[in-house]
Amino acid sequence: MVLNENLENYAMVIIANAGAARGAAFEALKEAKKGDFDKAKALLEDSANYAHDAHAKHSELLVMYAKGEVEQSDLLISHAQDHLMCAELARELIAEIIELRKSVERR
Amino acid sequence: MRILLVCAGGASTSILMKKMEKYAKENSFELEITAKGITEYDEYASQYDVILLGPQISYKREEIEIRMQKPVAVIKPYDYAIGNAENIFKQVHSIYPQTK
Repeated sequence: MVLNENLENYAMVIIANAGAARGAAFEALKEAKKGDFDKAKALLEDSANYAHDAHAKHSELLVMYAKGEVEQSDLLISHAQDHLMCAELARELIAEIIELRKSVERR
Repeated sequence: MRILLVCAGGASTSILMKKMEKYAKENSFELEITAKGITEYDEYASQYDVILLGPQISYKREEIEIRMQKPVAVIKPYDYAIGNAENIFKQVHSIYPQTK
């Protein structure tokens, strides 16, 4: 059974990694604005790695939940999922915006 | 030392704040710390020596440093996740060496 204190640890790992994924994505956008697409690409890769870690931890939690090993979810876990979705949306849109900037620059 | 923690909403940094307070108490040094969200941090910044950011707003570091004229650092995701207060205080010393 996952205790509340342990649940807080899960939430913090998800928040930190989702947060880092979002942060790196916005930094990539900043670099793309300056025209440095190589740096932007590297930052998007960093972002993908952080997002992967966040999702892995979240999946772990979902599997435990499915097995009945988590007694109840709490507000902090919801908050962590909010971070995860924010990061995911930011990553997808920023990748598109960077592609757009690239094609504009090529003209 | 006086530290202002800033993240998107101020929720996750509140949890980190508790861990840092505990560490300061255990190691008996003075610490004034608070956690605020990005929309309101500027009202409080003048009362603190350093500003630490959560990883989710890392891209605002430069902007905040210029605006607030204070040392600003981004907490490393791993330290943030596990609440590694020792590493975070080391980071504070590196950007604000005046503190003991």
